[in-house]
Amino acid sequence: MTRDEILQSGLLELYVAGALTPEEVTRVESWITSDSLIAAEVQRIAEAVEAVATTHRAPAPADMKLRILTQIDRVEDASAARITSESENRPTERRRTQRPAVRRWLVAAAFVIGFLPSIWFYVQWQQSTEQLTTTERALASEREARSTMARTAETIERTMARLSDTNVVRTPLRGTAAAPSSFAVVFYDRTTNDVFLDTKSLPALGSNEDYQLWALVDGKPVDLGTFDPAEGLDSAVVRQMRAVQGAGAFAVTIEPQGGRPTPTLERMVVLGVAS
Amino acid sequence: MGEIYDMYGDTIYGILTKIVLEDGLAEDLLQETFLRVWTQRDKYDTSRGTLFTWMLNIARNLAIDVRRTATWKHRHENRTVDVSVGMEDAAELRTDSVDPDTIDVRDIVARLSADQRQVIDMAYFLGYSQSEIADELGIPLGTVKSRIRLAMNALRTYFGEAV
Repeated sequence: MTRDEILQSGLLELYVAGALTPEEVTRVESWITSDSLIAAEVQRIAEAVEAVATTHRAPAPADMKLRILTQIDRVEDASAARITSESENRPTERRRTQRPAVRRWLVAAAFVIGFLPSIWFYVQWQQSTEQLTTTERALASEREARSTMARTAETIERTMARLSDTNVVRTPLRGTAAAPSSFAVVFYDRTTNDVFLDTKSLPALGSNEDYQLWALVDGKPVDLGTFDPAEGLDSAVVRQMRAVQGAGAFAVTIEPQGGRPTPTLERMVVLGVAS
Repeated sequence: MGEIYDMYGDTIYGILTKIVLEDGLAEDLLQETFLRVWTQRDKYDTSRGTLFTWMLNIARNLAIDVRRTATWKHRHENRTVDVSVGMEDAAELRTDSVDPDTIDVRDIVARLSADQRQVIDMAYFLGYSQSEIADELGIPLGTVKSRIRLAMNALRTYFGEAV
Protein backbone atom coordinates (compact mmCIF):
# COMPACT_ATOMS: atom_id res chain seq x y z
CA MET A 1 0.00 0.00 0.00
CA THR A 2 1.26 3.47 -0.76
CA ARG A 3 1.12 6.14 1.90
CA ASP A 4 -1.90 7.76 0.27
CA GLU A 5 -3.71 4.47 0.06
CA ILE A 6 -3.02 3.91 3.75
CA LEU A 7 -4.29 7.36 4.66
CA GLN A 8 -7.43 6.84 2.58
CA SER A 9 -8.06 3.27 3.71
CA GLY A 10 -9.90 4.09 6.93
CA LEU A 11 -7.62 1.61 8.72
CA LEU A 12 -5.94 4.30 10.81
CA GLU A 13 -9.30 5.53 12.08
CA LEU A 14 -10.30 1.98 13.00
CA TYR A 15 -6.91 1.43 14.59
CA VAL A 16 -7.48 4.31 17.00
CA ALA A 17 -10.93 2.89 17.68
CA GLY A 18 -9.35 -0.43 18.60
CA ALA A 19 -11.69 -2.02 16.06
CA LEU A 20 -9.12 -3.76 13.84
CA THR A 21 -8.23 -7.43 13.70
CA PRO A 22 -4.90 -8.40 15.33
CA GLU A 23 -3.26 -8.85 11.90
CA GLU A 24 -4.37 -5.40 10.80
CA VAL A 25 -3.12 -3.94 14.08
CA THR A 26 0.34 -5.40 13.43
CA ARG A 27 0.36 -3.89 9.95
CA VAL A 28 -0.75 -0.46 11.08
CA GLU A 29 1.82 -0.45 13.87
CA SER A 30 4.62 -1.24 11.44
CA TRP A 31 3.49 1.72 9.30
CA ILE A 32 3.46 3.96 12.35
CA THR A 33 7.01 2.97 13.23
CA SER A 34 8.34 3.41 9.71
CA ASP A 35 6.48 6.52 8.54
CA SER A 36 6.33 9.64 10.68
CA LEU A 37 3.57 11.14 8.52
CA ILE A 38 1.35 8.18 9.27
CA ALA A 39 2.25 8.41 12.95
CA ALA A 40 1.24 12.08 12.88
CA GLU A 41 -2.05 11.19 11.20
CA VAL A 42 -2.81 8.64 13.92
CA GLN A 43 -2.06 11.29 16.51
CA ARG A 44 -4.46 13.73 14.85
CA ILE A 45 -7.21 11.13 14.67
CA ALA A 46 -6.71 10.37 18.37
CA GLU A 47 -6.98 14.07 19.19
CA ALA A 48 -10.22 14.36 17.22
CA VAL A 49 -11.61 11.30 19.02
CA GLU A 50 -10.67 12.84 22.34
CA ALA A 51 -12.54 16.03 21.46
CA VAL A 52 -15.63 14.16 20.31
CA ALA A 53 -15.51 11.93 23.39
CA THR A 54 -16.16 14.93 25.64
CA THR A 55 -19.70 15.07 24.22
CA HIS A 56 -20.37 11.82 26.10
CA ARG A 57 -19.30 13.23 29.43
CA ALA A 58 -21.51 12.40 32.40
CA PRO A 59 -20.72 13.33 36.00
CA ALA A 60 -19.43 10.31 37.90
CA PRO A 61 -20.38 10.14 41.61
CA ALA A 62 -18.40 12.64 43.66
CA ASP A 63 -16.61 10.00 45.72
CA MET A 64 -15.32 8.08 42.68
CA LYS A 65 -12.00 9.85 42.63
CA LEU A 66 -11.29 9.02 46.25
CA ARG A 67 -12.41 5.42 45.77
CA ILE A 68 -10.09 5.03 42.81
CA LEU A 69 -7.06 6.61 44.44
CA THR A 70 -7.59 4.58 47.61
CA GLN A 71 -7.84 1.37 45.62
CA ILE A 72 -4.65 2.14 43.71
CA ASP A 73 -2.91 2.74 47.03
CA ARG A 74 -4.17 -0.53 48.42
CA VAL A 75 -3.06 -2.48 45.36
CA GLU A 76 0.37 -0.89 45.48
CA ASP A 77 0.76 -1.79 49.16
CA ALA A 78 -0.40 -5.34 48.53
CA SER A 79 2.02 -5.90 45.67
CA ALA A 80 4.89 -4.47 47.69
CA ALA A 81 4.01 -6.84 50.52
CA ARG A 82 3.80 -9.77 48.11
CA ILE A 83 7.25 -9.11 46.68
CA THR A 84 8.69 -8.99 50.19
CA SER A 85 7.03 -12.19 51.35
CA GLU A 86 7.95 -14.05 48.16
CA SER A 87 11.57 -13.19 48.53
CA GLU A 88 11.62 -14.15 52.23
CA ASN A 89 9.60 -17.35 52.39
CA ARG A 90 11.18 -19.72 49.95
CA PRO A 91 14.67 -20.69 51.05
CA THR A 92 14.27 -24.42 50.21
CA GLU A 93 13.17 -23.82 46.69
CA ARG A 94 15.91 -21.40 46.05
CA ARG A 95 17.78 -23.42 43.44
CA ARG A 96 14.68 -24.19 41.44
CA THR A 97 13.32 -20.69 41.53
CA GLN A 98 16.57 -18.92 41.07
CA ARG A 99 16.07 -18.00 37.45
CA PRO A 100 12.53 -16.65 37.84
CA ALA A 101 13.72 -14.84 40.95
CA VAL A 102 16.52 -13.26 39.01
CA ARG A 103 14.07 -12.32 36.35
CA ARG A 104 11.75 -10.90 38.96
CA TRP A 105 14.53 -8.81 40.37
CA LEU A 106 15.48 -7.69 36.90
CA VAL A 107 11.89 -6.64 36.32
CA ALA A 108 11.87 -4.87 39.67
CA ALA A 109 15.17 -3.20 38.84
CA ALA A 110 13.93 -2.18 35.42
CA PHE A 111 10.82 -0.84 37.07
CA VAL A 112 12.85 1.17 39.57
CA ILE A 113 15.18 2.45 36.86
CA GLY A 114 12.21 3.31 34.70
CA PHE A 115 10.81 5.24 37.59
CA LEU A 116 13.96 7.06 38.56
CA PRO A 117 13.32 9.94 36.16
CA SER A 118 9.82 10.37 37.56
CA ILE A 119 11.15 10.32 41.09
CA TRP A 120 13.85 12.75 40.09
CA PHE A 121 11.30 15.07 38.48
CA TYR A 122 9.04 14.76 41.47
CA VAL A 123 11.86 15.67 43.86
CA GLN A 124 12.91 18.54 41.60
CA TRP A 125 9.35 19.71 41.47
CA GLN A 126 9.01 19.53 45.25
CA GLN A 127 12.25 21.42 45.69
CA SER A 128 11.37 24.11 43.23
CA THR A 129 7.99 24.50 44.89
CA GLU A 130 9.77 24.95 48.21
CA GLN A 131 12.22 27.37 46.67
CA LEU A 132 9.38 29.29 45.15
CA THR A 133 7.65 29.59 48.51
CA THR A 134 10.86 30.71 50.19
CA THR A 135 11.54 33.23 47.45
CA GLU A 136 8.01 34.53 47.63
CA ARG A 137 8.30 34.93 51.39
CA ALA A 138 11.66 36.70 51.06
CA LEU A 139 10.21 38.98 48.41
CA ALA A 140 7.24 39.83 50.61
CA SER A 141 9.42 40.74 53.58
CA GLU A 142 11.74 42.68 51.28
CA ARG A 143 8.74 44.57 49.95
CA GLU A 144 7.55 45.27 53.49
CA ALA A 145 11.00 46.50 54.56
CA ARG A 146 11.11 48.80 51.56
CA SER A 147 7.75 50.32 52.29
CA THR A 148 8.70 50.81 55.94
CA MET A 149 11.88 52.55 54.82
CA ALA A 150 9.93 54.68 52.39
CA ARG A 151 7.52 55.69 55.16
CA THR A 152 10.40 56.51 57.52
CA ALA A 153 12.18 58.54 54.87
CA GLU A 154 9.01 60.46 54.16
CA THR A 155 8.47 61.23 57.85
CA ILE A 156 12.08 62.39 58.25
CA GLU A 157 11.82 64.59 55.19
CA ARG A 158 8.58 66.16 56.36
CA THR A 159 9.99 66.73 59.85
CA MET A 160 13.24 68.17 58.54
CA ALA A 161 11.32 70.56 56.32
CA ARG A 162 9.21 71.52 59.30
CA LEU A 163 12.22 72.05 61.60
CA SER A 164 14.09 74.24 59.15
CA ASP A 165 11.24 76.72 59.34
CA THR A 166 12.59 80.11 60.55
CA ASN A 167 10.07 80.25 63.41
CA VAL A 168 11.41 77.05 64.92
CA VAL A 169 13.83 77.54 67.79
CA ARG A 170 16.28 74.85 68.77
CA THR A 171 16.58 74.29 72.51
CA PRO A 172 19.23 71.84 73.76
CA LEU A 173 18.29 69.95 76.95
CA ARG A 174 21.38 69.00 78.95
CA GLY A 175 21.87 66.17 81.45
CA THR A 176 21.15 66.86 85.08
CA ALA A 177 23.29 65.74 88.01
CA ALA A 178 21.22 62.53 88.08
CA ALA A 179 22.15 61.73 84.46
CA PRO A 180 25.04 63.95 83.38
CA SER A 181 25.70 62.32 80.01
CA SER A 182 22.11 62.67 78.84
CA PHE A 183 21.19 64.99 76.03
CA ALA A 184 18.09 65.86 74.01
CA VAL A 185 16.93 68.66 71.74
CA VAL A 186 13.53 70.36 71.58
CA PHE A 187 12.43 72.25 68.47
CA TYR A 188 9.79 74.73 69.43
CA ASP A 189 7.66 76.75 67.03
CA ARG A 190 6.46 79.80 68.91
CA THR A 191 3.91 80.78 66.23
CA THR A 192 2.14 77.40 65.99
CA ASN A 193 3.17 76.15 69.47
CA ASP A 194 4.33 72.82 67.95
CA VAL A 195 6.95 70.90 69.94
CA PHE A 196 9.36 68.36 68.44
CA LEU A 197 11.73 66.25 70.49
CA ASP A 198 14.96 64.61 69.38
CA THR A 199 16.23 62.22 72.04
CA LYS A 200 19.97 61.98 71.47
CA SER A 201 20.94 60.08 74.62
CA LEU A 202 18.83 59.22 77.63
CA PRO A 203 19.46 56.75 80.48
CA ALA A 204 17.87 53.33 80.12
CA LEU A 205 14.32 52.90 81.38
CA GLY A 206 13.39 50.31 83.96
CA SER A 207 10.47 48.04 83.17
CA ASN A 208 7.12 49.79 83.70
CA GLU A 209 8.70 53.19 83.18
CA ASP A 210 8.25 55.92 80.55
CA TYR A 211 9.95 59.18 79.72
CA GLN A 212 7.73 62.21 80.09
CA LEU A 213 8.34 65.63 78.51
CA TRP A 214 7.37 68.75 80.43
CA ALA A 215 7.21 72.43 79.57
CA LEU A 216 7.47 75.16 82.18
CA VAL A 217 4.83 77.79 81.49
CA ASP A 218 4.92 80.71 83.93
CA GLY A 219 6.87 78.50 86.31
CA LYS A 220 4.30 75.68 86.25
CA PRO A 221 4.97 72.21 84.67
CA VAL A 222 2.72 71.28 81.74
CA ASP A 223 2.56 67.64 80.56
CA LEU A 224 3.62 67.29 76.91
CA GLY A 225 3.24 63.51 76.81
CA THR A 226 5.17 60.30 77.49
CA PHE A 227 7.35 58.38 75.05
CA ASP A 228 9.61 55.38 74.74
CA PRO A 229 12.42 55.88 72.21
CA ALA A 230 12.73 52.16 71.63
CA GLU A 231 9.15 51.88 70.54
CA GLY A 232 7.75 52.07 67.06
CA LEU A 233 8.67 53.70 63.83
CA ASP A 234 9.50 57.13 65.22
CA SER A 235 12.30 55.86 67.44
CA ALA A 236 14.61 56.83 64.59
CA VAL A 237 13.18 60.25 64.00
CA VAL A 238 12.29 63.42 65.78
CA ARG A 239 8.91 62.94 67.38
CA GLN A 240 6.18 65.52 67.67
CA MET A 241 4.90 66.03 71.22
CA ARG A 242 1.88 67.89 72.56
CA ALA A 243 1.74 71.61 71.59
CA VAL A 244 2.19 74.26 74.25
CA GLN A 245 1.96 78.03 74.38
CA GLY A 246 4.51 80.27 76.08
CA ALA A 247 6.95 77.59 77.20
CA GLY A 248 9.94 78.99 79.08
CA ALA A 249 11.81 75.72 79.60
CA PHE A 250 11.60 71.98 78.77
CA ALA A 251 12.53 68.95 80.84
CA VAL A 252 12.32 65.15 80.61
CA THR A 253 11.65 63.02 83.68
CA ILE A 254 11.40 59.27 84.15
CA GLU A 255 7.93 58.34 85.42
CA PRO A 256 5.86 55.20 86.03
CA GLN A 257 4.38 53.84 82.82
CA GLY A 258 1.68 56.14 81.42
CA GLY A 259 3.18 59.21 83.07
CA ARG A 260 2.06 61.35 85.99
CA PRO A 261 0.17 64.66 86.28
CA THR A 262 3.18 66.31 87.95
CA PRO A 263 6.88 65.65 87.37
CA THR A 264 9.03 63.67 89.77
CA LEU A 265 11.84 66.19 90.11
CA GLU A 266 14.37 63.72 91.56
CA ARG A 267 14.11 61.75 88.34
CA MET A 268 14.61 64.64 85.94
CA VAL A 269 17.25 63.60 83.37
CA VAL A 270 17.55 66.59 81.01
CA LEU A 271 16.62 70.28 81.23
CA GLY A 272 16.92 73.29 78.93
CA VAL A 273 15.71 76.88 78.89
CA ALA A 274 13.85 77.93 75.74
CA SER A 275 15.52 80.85 74.00
CA MET B 1 -3.39 9.97 38.78
CA GLY B 2 -5.75 12.41 40.47
CA GLU B 3 -5.13 14.90 37.70
CA ILE B 4 -5.78 12.31 35.02
CA TYR B 5 -9.01 11.46 36.76
CA ASP B 6 -10.05 15.11 36.83
CA MET B 7 -9.38 15.37 33.12
CA TYR B 8 -10.95 12.18 31.85
CA GLY B 9 -12.98 10.58 34.65
CA ASP B 10 -16.36 11.97 33.65
CA THR B 11 -15.87 11.36 29.95
CA ILE B 12 -14.87 7.73 30.42
CA TYR B 13 -17.69 7.27 32.90
CA GLY B 14 -20.18 8.69 30.40
CA ILE B 15 -18.99 6.30 27.72
CA LEU B 16 -19.04 3.35 30.11
CA THR B 17 -22.65 4.03 31.13
CA LYS B 18 -23.57 4.13 27.47
CA ILE B 19 -22.08 0.71 26.86
CA VAL B 20 -23.19 -1.15 29.98
CA LEU B 21 -26.39 0.85 30.56
CA GLU B 22 -26.07 0.65 34.37
CA ASP B 23 -24.61 3.32 36.61
CA GLY B 24 -23.35 0.91 39.28
CA LEU B 25 -21.60 -1.25 36.72
CA ALA B 26 -20.10 1.81 35.04
CA GLU B 27 -18.69 2.91 38.41
CA ASP B 28 -17.04 -0.47 38.96
CA LEU B 29 -15.63 -0.39 35.44
CA LEU B 30 -14.37 3.15 35.85
CA GLN B 31 -12.51 2.05 38.95
CA GLU B 32 -11.09 -0.99 37.16
CA THR B 33 -10.08 1.17 34.19
CA PHE B 34 -8.05 3.52 36.34
CA LEU B 35 -6.50 0.64 38.23
CA ARG B 36 -5.36 -0.88 34.93
CA VAL B 37 -4.12 2.44 33.66
CA TRP B 38 -2.02 2.62 36.80
CA THR B 39 -0.68 -0.94 36.73
CA GLN B 40 -0.08 -0.96 32.97
CA ARG B 41 1.22 2.57 32.66
CA ASP B 42 4.53 1.34 31.28
CA LYS B 43 2.66 -0.12 28.32
CA TYR B 44 1.35 3.24 27.18
CA ASP B 45 3.06 4.18 23.92
CA THR B 46 2.77 7.84 22.98
CA SER B 47 3.21 7.09 19.27
CA ARG B 48 -0.01 5.07 19.19
CA GLY B 49 -2.53 7.70 20.11
CA THR B 50 -3.17 9.97 23.05
CA LEU B 51 -3.27 8.98 26.70
CA PHE B 52 -7.01 9.40 26.47
CA THR B 53 -7.51 7.03 23.53
CA TRP B 54 -5.35 4.46 25.30
CA MET B 55 -7.52 4.73 28.41
CA LEU B 56 -10.63 4.68 26.30
CA ASN B 57 -9.56 1.38 24.73
CA ILE B 58 -8.98 -0.13 28.16
CA ALA B 59 -12.37 1.07 29.40
CA ARG B 60 -14.21 -0.03 26.29
CA ASN B 61 -12.70 -3.51 26.27
CA LEU B 62 -13.67 -3.98 29.92
CA ALA B 63 -17.20 -2.82 29.17
CA ILE B 64 -17.54 -5.11 26.15
CA ASP B 65 -16.43 -8.07 28.26
CA VAL B 66 -19.18 -7.26 30.73
CA ARG B 67 -21.75 -7.03 27.97
CA ARG B 68 -20.80 -10.48 26.75
CA THR B 69 -21.54 -12.12 30.11
CA ALA B 70 -24.68 -14.17 30.45
CA THR B 71 -25.81 -12.21 33.50
CA TRP B 72 -25.67 -8.92 31.66
CA LYS B 73 -27.45 -10.35 28.62
CA HIS B 74 -30.12 -11.80 30.86
CA ARG B 75 -30.71 -8.49 32.59
CA HIS B 76 -30.93 -6.61 29.32
CA GLU B 77 -32.70 -9.24 27.25
CA ASN B 78 -35.29 -6.91 25.87
CA ARG B 79 -33.04 -3.98 25.30
CA THR B 80 -31.08 -3.86 22.11
CA VAL B 81 -28.81 -0.89 21.91
CA ASP B 82 -30.24 1.52 19.44
CA VAL B 83 -27.30 3.72 18.86
CA SER B 84 -29.06 6.68 17.33
CA VAL B 85 -31.75 6.74 20.03
CA GLY B 86 -29.03 6.42 22.63
CA MET B 87 -27.41 9.50 21.23
CA GLU B 88 -30.58 11.57 21.29
CA ASP B 89 -31.21 10.57 24.89
CA ALA B 90 -27.71 11.42 25.79
CA ALA B 91 -27.96 14.78 24.07
CA GLU B 92 -31.03 15.61 26.13
CA LEU B 93 -29.49 14.43 29.36
CA ARG B 94 -26.40 16.43 28.72
CA THR B 95 -28.13 19.77 28.43
CA ASP B 96 -28.48 20.13 32.20
CA SER B 97 -24.81 19.55 32.87
CA VAL B 98 -23.34 21.48 30.00
CA ASP B 99 -19.67 22.07 30.07
CA PRO B 100 -19.01 25.27 28.12
CA ASP B 101 -15.83 23.75 26.70
CA THR B 102 -17.76 21.03 24.95
CA ILE B 103 -20.52 23.09 23.37
CA ASP B 104 -18.58 23.71 20.20
CA VAL B 105 -17.66 20.08 19.88
CA ARG B 106 -21.27 19.09 20.20
CA ASP B 107 -22.28 21.59 17.54
CA ILE B 108 -19.62 20.13 15.34
CA VAL B 109 -20.75 16.57 15.98
CA ALA B 110 -24.30 17.64 15.23
CA ARG B 111 -23.17 18.64 11.77
CA LEU B 112 -22.34 15.06 10.86
CA SER B 113 -24.94 13.04 9.01
CA ALA B 114 -26.84 10.51 11.11
CA ASP B 115 -24.97 7.69 9.35
CA GLN B 116 -21.62 9.22 10.16
CA ARG B 117 -22.50 9.89 13.79
CA GLN B 118 -23.74 6.39 14.22
CA VAL B 119 -20.64 4.80 12.82
CA ILE B 120 -18.32 7.00 14.92
CA ASP B 121 -20.20 6.25 18.10
CA MET B 122 -20.28 2.55 17.38
CA ALA B 123 -16.59 2.34 16.62
CA TYR B 124 -15.14 4.71 19.18
CA PHE B 125 -17.51 4.77 22.08
CA LEU B 126 -19.61 1.64 21.97
CA GLY B 127 -16.80 -0.74 21.15
CA TYR B 128 -18.11 -2.41 18.03
CA SER B 129 -15.54 -4.14 15.85
CA GLN B 130 -15.62 -3.31 12.16
CA SER B 131 -17.34 -6.58 11.30
CA GLU B 132 -19.92 -6.03 14.06
CA ILE B 133 -20.63 -2.60 12.61
CA ALA B 134 -20.98 -4.12 9.15
CA ASP B 135 -23.37 -6.78 10.48
CA GLU B 136 -25.38 -4.37 12.57
CA LEU B 137 -25.82 -1.84 9.77
CA GLY B 138 -25.99 -4.38 6.96
CA ILE B 139 -23.22 -2.76 4.96
CA PRO B 140 -19.98 -4.20 3.53
CA LEU B 141 -16.73 -3.99 5.52
CA GLY B 142 -15.21 -1.63 2.95
CA THR B 143 -18.10 0.76 3.45
CA VAL B 144 -17.54 0.71 7.23
CA LYS B 145 -13.94 1.78 6.71
CA SER B 146 -14.72 4.50 4.22
CA ARG B 147 -17.64 5.82 6.23
CA ILE B 148 -15.56 6.15 9.38
CA ARG B 149 -12.82 7.74 7.33
CA LEU B 150 -15.24 10.29 5.85
CA ALA B 151 -16.84 11.01 9.21
CA MET B 152 -13.50 11.64 10.86
CA ASN B 153 -12.42 13.79 7.95
CA ALA B 154 -15.59 15.84 8.21
CA LEU B 155 -15.05 16.25 11.96
CA ARG B 156 -11.52 17.38 11.49
CA THR B 157 -12.53 19.85 8.81
CA TYR B 158 -15.14 21.31 11.19
CA PHE B 159 -12.61 21.37 14.00
CA GLY B 160 -10.28 23.22 11.68
CA GLU B 161 -12.98 25.84 11.10
CA ALA B 162 -13.76 26.13 14.77
CA VAL B 163 -10.18 26.74 15.82
